Amino acid sequence: MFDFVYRKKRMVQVILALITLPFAFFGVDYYFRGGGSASEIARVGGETISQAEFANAISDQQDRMRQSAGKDYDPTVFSNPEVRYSMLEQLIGQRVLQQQVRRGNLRVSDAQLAQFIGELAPFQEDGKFSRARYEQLLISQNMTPLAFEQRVRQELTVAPLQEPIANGNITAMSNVQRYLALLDQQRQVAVATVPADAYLKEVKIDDAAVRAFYDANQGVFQVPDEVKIEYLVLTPDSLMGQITVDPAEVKKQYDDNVKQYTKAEERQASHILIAVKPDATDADKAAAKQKAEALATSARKTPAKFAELAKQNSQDPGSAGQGGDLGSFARDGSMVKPFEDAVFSGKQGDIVGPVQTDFGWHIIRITAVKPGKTQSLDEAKPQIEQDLKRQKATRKFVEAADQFQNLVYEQADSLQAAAKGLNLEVKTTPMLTRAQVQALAQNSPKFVQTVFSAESLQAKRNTEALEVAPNTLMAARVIDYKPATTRTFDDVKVDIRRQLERNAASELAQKTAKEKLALLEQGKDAGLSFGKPVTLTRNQAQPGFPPDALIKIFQANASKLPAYVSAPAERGSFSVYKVTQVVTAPAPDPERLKAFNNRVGDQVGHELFNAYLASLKTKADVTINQANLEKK
Amino acid sequence: MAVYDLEEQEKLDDLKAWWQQNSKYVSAAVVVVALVVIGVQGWRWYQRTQAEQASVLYQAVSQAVRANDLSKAKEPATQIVDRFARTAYAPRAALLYAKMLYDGGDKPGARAQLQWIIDHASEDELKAIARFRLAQAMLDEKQYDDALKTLDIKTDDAFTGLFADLRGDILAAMGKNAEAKAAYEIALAKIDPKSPYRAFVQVKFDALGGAQ
Repeated sequence: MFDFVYRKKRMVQVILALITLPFAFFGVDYYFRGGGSASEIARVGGETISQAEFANAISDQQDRMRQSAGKDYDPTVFSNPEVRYSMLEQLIGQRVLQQQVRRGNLRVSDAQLAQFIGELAPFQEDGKFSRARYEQLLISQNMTPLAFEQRVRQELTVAPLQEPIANGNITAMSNVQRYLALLDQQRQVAVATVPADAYLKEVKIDDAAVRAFYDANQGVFQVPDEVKIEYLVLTPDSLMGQITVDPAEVKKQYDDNVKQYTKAEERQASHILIAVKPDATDADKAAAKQKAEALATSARKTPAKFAELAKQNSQDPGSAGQGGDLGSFARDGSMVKPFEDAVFSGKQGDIVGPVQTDFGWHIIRITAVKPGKTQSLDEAKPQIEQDLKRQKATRKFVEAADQFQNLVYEQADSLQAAAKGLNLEVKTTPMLTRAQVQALAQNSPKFVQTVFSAESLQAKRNTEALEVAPNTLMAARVIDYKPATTRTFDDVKVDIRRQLERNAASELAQKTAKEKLALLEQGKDAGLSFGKPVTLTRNQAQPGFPPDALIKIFQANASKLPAYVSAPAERGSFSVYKVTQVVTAPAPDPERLKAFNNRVGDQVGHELFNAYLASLKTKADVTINQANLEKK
Repeated sequence: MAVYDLEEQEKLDDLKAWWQQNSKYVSAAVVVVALVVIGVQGWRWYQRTQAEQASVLYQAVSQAVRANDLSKAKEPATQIVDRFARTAYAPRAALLYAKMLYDGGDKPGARAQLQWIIDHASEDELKAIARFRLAQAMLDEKQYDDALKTLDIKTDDAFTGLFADLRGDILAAMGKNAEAKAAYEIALAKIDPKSPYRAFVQVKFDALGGAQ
């Protein structure tokens, strides 16, 4: 969560991080403290994490995912208990870090904050911090400078807890090399398979065993109940179509926020600097002024040669080489005031000056004027309309939700009334299992329960309107229902017999393989014919060498060769593997070793930080209120 | 001046007498309370200014890390240890600086930083982390016994897995395969099954013959 602090050079990532980084929730805890145990979800070092706080964290995370995943966004993951638990763990982690911040007196002053932000590349123009650019970028991310600064301050404050542990790892290179050699090691292996099919003839399964299996495993032969429903979904999006936006409103939004749609005027200028040191004598000052005036005169005479003049005479080492060019800038204080005033007072092509600043005398040529551009109302209109519609739809949703609930309740034998009243479309499904219904309803278990409740199945009445996900209401009505059945014995007995035969044959194959393995380990002939040896690499499964077998092959004790292991193969067969040779990898090239060393270092650093957090959590005596965690 | 009746006069006299007897103690108590308040406030103020100054130095070290410029780290890293040794920032800056020194080839310098943390840090976790890194440095220089000794402390259980893993590495480097295997086994039991790092340990464990 602190990563973006370290990636200041890459603008895209910073901007992405702005969106995806979770807030550290500093300060929030003060408002929620002492909320009583009813709403408490966890207790950390004597402080409470309330359910409201947890819900906020989840909805923040949902927003971030919605933004980054777009269409693929699946809100239902947040009802998964494992996800909820890990979200809570994350909150607890943040809380113990906050407590550690207080304990360690960690702080970041305004000056430090300003320095850090000032050096972030995305906010720089021509190597300098540009306030205009800063504000513009933040606005485009819907963020105020205040909120952004607060967030950066949080990140900076807490970074010392993470950075030295996660990023400062030292790894023994010799050790990493040993490990890499293990990963690169190859083994030559031959395989012999004891096929299960060969034992099928020996296997006898009597009818009683088939019957017994059927009786003992009724659950396996269940055909689950199925239901056919019609349903309605109400979301703010479904209301968008009915919402109209008054052109006057669009205009007002545009007028009130015209700054959002405006890019400030920029100008490009070149200059010749005749430097005057602050402690210069009066004579020096006068000489500088005279020189500047002379240069201004010759520049005005032949403006085309300005660049040449600058190259020869300018005492600004940064720009002289470029013919005095300073690039473009807005009138935002990125240049000293008298200079800026001079540049913005003339017109394109003008030679201005000499102008005096703290640096000395400047002769300025205005090389380009890029007028500020304000998106016209017409250009901005589609976006504004869409935004306004969405806002209104969200507001209207609350009201519509009430109406929806009432309509499905009042006319309980049809969804048509609700569909008509709210301009929704009634959708009809084919026969669906419970799992399929759950998938349909944003994974809401409650929806499944309600649809499959006795009242809904028998009376075929509308279900109540259920909030299956935030801002998503659903109501359904059962059209058809097929109860659960069990397949008959006659229907499945052939399958059962085949399955039992195969299991028994597989067991025989395994037994044989084990016996042969024992013989081989004693150095005796087991009568197996091994295939041609194959050279294998760890983690690269291939036909005849499935992943489980690879693990065993590379676990085989290679101090005495050949070594033998056995592992299950396809279709119930068993394979015996003969390791004939261990091929030591050549020494890795230094680049690869270094990259791998860094990777291992990062991994270990990550583990160390997790251990650090875990240790803090142990000390903070964390308790979780399981009942409240499961509540939604 | 107000006129008091007898009874009031008497009370007043009692009060005066009591004051004459006890004024010393009362004043002393007031002074003590005042001193304590001033002391506590002063201590807080002191801690805060120390932290603020240390924070600036830490930031400078951290910036040097990001710029990968060892020369820029030296001054603030030395200062923070000299002048603000008791702040939470000092051992953390030392951890960062040790890494820079180590990567820059100054291994004795790196080890001195880590040793300073082990001797001076007040947080057990940081001491454990410094020990872990010091043992890595020792392993690289084949000082196996010293490395094992460095790891031989009681840590919070959260560190047990990583310590056992490193102990396994050291023992394996010494050729003590059976002991190394036992150490890796502890690491496998302690490291979170969901952690990708566990696969690393598994490979090392398997290479020693794995579970038979």
